[in-house]
Amino acid sequence: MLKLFKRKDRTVITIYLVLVILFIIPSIISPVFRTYRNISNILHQAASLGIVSVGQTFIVLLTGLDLSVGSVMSLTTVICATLMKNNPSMIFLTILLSLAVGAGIGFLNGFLVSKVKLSPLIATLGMMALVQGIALRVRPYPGGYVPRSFGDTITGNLFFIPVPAIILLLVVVAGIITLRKTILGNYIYATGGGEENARLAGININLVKISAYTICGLIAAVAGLVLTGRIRSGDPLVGTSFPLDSITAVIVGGTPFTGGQGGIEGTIAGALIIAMLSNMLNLLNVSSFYQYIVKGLILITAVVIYSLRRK
Amino acid sequence: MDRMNKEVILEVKGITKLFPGVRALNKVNFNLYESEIRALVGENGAGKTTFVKILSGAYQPDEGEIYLRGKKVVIPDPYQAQQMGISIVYQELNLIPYMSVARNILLGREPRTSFGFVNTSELIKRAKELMEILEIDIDPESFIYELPVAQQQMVAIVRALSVNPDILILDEPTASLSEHEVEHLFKVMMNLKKRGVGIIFISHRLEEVFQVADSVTVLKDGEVVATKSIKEINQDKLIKMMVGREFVNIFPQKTPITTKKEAVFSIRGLTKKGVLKNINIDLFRGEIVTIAGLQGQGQRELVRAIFGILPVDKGEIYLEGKKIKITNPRDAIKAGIGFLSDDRKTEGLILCRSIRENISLPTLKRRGVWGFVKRKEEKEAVISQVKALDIRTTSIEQEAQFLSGGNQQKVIIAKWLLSNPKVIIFDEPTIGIDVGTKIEIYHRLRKLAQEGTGILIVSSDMIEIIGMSDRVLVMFEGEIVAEIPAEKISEEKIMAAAAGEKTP
Ligand SMILES: Nc1ncnc2c1ncn2[C@@H]1O[C@H](COP(=O)(O)OP(=O)(O)OP(=O)(O)O)[C@@H](O)[C@H]1O
Ligand SMILES: [Mg+2]
Repeated sequence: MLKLFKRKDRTVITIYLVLVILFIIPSIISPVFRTYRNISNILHQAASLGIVSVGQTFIVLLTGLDLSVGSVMSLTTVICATLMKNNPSMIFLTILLSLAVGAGIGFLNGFLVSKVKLSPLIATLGMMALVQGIALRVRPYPGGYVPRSFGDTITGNLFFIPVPAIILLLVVVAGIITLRKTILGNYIYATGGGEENARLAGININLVKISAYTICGLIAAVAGLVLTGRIRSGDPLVGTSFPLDSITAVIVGGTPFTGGQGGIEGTIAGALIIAMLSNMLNLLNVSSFYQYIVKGLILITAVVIYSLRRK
Repeated sequence: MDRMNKEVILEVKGITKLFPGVRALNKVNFNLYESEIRALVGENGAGKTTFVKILSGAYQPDEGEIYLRGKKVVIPDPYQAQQMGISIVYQELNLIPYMSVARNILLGREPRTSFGFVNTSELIKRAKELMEILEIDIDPESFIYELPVAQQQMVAIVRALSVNPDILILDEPTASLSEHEVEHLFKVMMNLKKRGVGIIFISHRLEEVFQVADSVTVLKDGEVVATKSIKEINQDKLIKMMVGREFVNIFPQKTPITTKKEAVFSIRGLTKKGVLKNINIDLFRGEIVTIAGLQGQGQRELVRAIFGILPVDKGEIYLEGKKIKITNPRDAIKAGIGFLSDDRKTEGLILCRSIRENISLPTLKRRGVWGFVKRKEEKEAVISQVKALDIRTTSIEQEAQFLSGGNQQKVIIAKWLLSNPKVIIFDEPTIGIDVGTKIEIYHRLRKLAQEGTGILIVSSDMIEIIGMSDRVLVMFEGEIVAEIPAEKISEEKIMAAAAGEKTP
């Protein structure tokens, strides 16, 4: 049946098939898994990962990677828990500030990668440490809190749908439109597919890169806000696992590290798969180091399958 | 050719190869004799490369059988093919850019020291010896990416020959070679022929086929049209078999400029130390100018300098009388210059993206509204180009990497024609393109010139230079040493100037 589809669509369809199977099997086995509460729980967990992964997709498409997204998320929780704490009137301004900080950090990443010509690994690794340091300086230990109204809105429901899932959906749709319909999106695919080629076609590749990293930073801040709503406090280390998880989601979702192909459609399935597996393992009371092992196995399996299929 | 007492070394029966949406080969039969040089010709996308890739084990056939010296074989992969005595030089070369020439030549067969490490001095010595046999003078320690395409081609040929094959396959080896190097390659081929090697030689330059081949097989849409001895056929008949129709004029009528000469594009005093010496060019409205010369005389650098890829020390560029400043390709495109590079892999095509995206890339912005792509308009524009240049593909969403070599080249040409430039600079535009499409491209270019586009072509194809140019500029050691007007263009004149003989 898969032969009916074009090769690139087939990858996305396969990954959604895997997602559906991973949902159906435990639903049959475990009554707890298929409860509304648990599913809504999965969506809450998946939301922040799904959101960062959308941003990460922009970067992997450009043959890069962004390790600083986790620090940006941590810093966002710290900013919120500090500025909003006793001051609900600051909520809106704090949200704007967090987004600006995220975008600013992304912009710096983009600047370092394009103008200074650092490799994305080095540039974002440095930025990761730097931002982490700032977060720790502001709030060395987890603490502070956010106003109830903020926390309740972000973790609440709208017509029975968890708000984080709605935010995720909005980010995904915006991301897909940007990549598929806008000129910037086309330029990102072209630059990722062949940088020198794109340059000779008259594309300002530095601007493309800076835009992509800025978008990624901005989206990481959005993910940070959702996360803040969930933990309702500031935690300078809460984002640590997100860089690698988001890269895993992108790769599992069918965007190869060589860039230029793939997209958010697959990434989101990748993120959901990771979140669902974590949830299952939690329900089974499996300890967290096994969860790492499982994540590693999924990543490697996915990459092996893709590389076999490309032959 | 006297086949009576020669052994058949290769026999192919009923080979069929399917790709998604295309039947690339359909029941192909093919025999090759000892000491035979067989040309394989056909339009772009006819299936030539697919056929030889099956022989080299790179692809597996869906149907059919292969016999080597009467024994039925399966060729599972290129390594095994080499063991069986089949050696191939691919159209897209497949050398490793960041490795030395010597390592590329002996890749997988490196001499070892007693500890199992690569014996570098022995490696270089062996590579040198191999190159000396073929009288090729390239530093074995230089890296592939540093070499011009022609030298890379020679390295690939040395590598193919270093295993002493029974059957040598050359897929468009002459596409980027200069005339002198082609002569040299033919000498090598003749020597191999004397030693009994059977050679399959793919080329779109038919005059070469008549010069070197004993026989020729014509492929069309994946089927063998005919196999003929070279003596029983001529060029016109061959073209007719390939294309299925006859051509009256390969080259369009030249149009002498009758009106006042008005420069579309001028270059003044373009200089780069050690590379370009005080270059002055005027491109007048309505004319096609070609730059000729031996390889490596600065032609490549000149066009790159104009397009803003290569920084220069000094020089001015004028477009329609106005001075323009070009520091990168973006400036050049904005000003209305289109540039086709001779290096299509890194400077022409994004292989993992679709034909549509490749063709529309430089014009996307011009066509956009509010940062969004106008998809419908984009598609219509692309489809019109694909039709005009007869690009053979299953759909415009096909990834560029799955097109045949010549069709890839057409995609790049389409990209620049679509951008409707004021000045077109084409570096070896018809490399790898079949006769039928070449004619189409020549006519398109002539029409563009008549409509006022300035056209500057760098070419090493003498027939093309003579047939297309209103004026020929000859470069030698980074300098324009001769300017030959239309009525005086001849091979002798061009060659003399190219060799550095100053003509008054
Ligand atoms: N890997 C592939 N996947 C899908 N289609 C392919 C693939 N390789 C080749 N084709 C298709 O098979 C046909 C034959 O291609 P092939 O490369 O053999 O042509 P060719 O005769 O060598 O042409 P050229 O003169 O342009 O090099 C073309 O229609 C091409 O698009
Ligand atoms: Mg070919």
